[in-house]
Amino acid sequence: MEFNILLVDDSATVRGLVARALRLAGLPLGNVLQAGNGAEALEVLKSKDVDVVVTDLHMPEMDGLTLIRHLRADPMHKDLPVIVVSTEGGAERIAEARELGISAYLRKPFKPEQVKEAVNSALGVVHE
Amino acid sequence: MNNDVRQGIEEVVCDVIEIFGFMFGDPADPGGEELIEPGDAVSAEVFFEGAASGRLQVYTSLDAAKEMSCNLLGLDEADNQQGLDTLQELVNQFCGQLLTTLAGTEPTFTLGIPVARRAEQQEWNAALGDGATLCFVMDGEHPLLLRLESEGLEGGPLS
Repeated sequence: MEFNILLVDDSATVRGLVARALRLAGLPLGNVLQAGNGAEALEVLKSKDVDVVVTDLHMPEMDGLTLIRHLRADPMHKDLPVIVVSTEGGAERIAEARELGISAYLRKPFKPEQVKEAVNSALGVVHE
Repeated sequence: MNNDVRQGIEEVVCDVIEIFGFMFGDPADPGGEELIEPGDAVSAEVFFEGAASGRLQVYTSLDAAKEMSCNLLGLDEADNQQGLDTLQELVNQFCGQLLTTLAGTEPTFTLGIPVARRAEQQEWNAALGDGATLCFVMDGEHPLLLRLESEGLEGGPLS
């Protein structure tokens, strides 16, 4: 069964890199949706079905933590699996993200197999 | 900059070049031929604040940035914007990794939004002539200059 993924990062390069890693890993990708920040991501989620969100933390306009807080407060998306991919390595920021119930936290730079494992794990949660 | 700090920075930079950029990075001598201004110089910088504040700048060639884009995205050819976007992300990742390497994971930092642009020959030469600049070569041919200006990073794990 194919899954739809939403990639949220202000870097088009990172969005492209994650999408490519997942395609090369042979995951059954349906729609690969993209957004440049949290606000754009919320707009996408209003009209599209998404199975997993992969988001950066540090973005202009609306950052990743704010995006996740919006999702957790929304009955439609409160259980939506979220994977964070960020340069942020500070313990406090990582703990903050984990408290919001993220599925995984990957530090940039990441290896393609780490993204694949994180998405597989997140989808396992979805289908349980 | 003491030797441990220099070595720590060099290791981080080479790791990021390899894992993110799919290129090999090596520290280089500032007088090396590979580090002569390439004619299509580009620069990216990111500011940070928090437990320490400062700025990280990198210089390389547009050709190198575009080649990295191709590596990352599986393209035969990248355009200038893709090269600059990749360079922005590269400086972002250098900065995130360097801050935790130099200061540890306890301090909190806020990074600015990285910016990339074309650079003038004089800027390149000034960076190259600055004793605080660290020099690298990517894939044996592409130059990379890195300058970290900061206040308050002293006293971290590598000091």
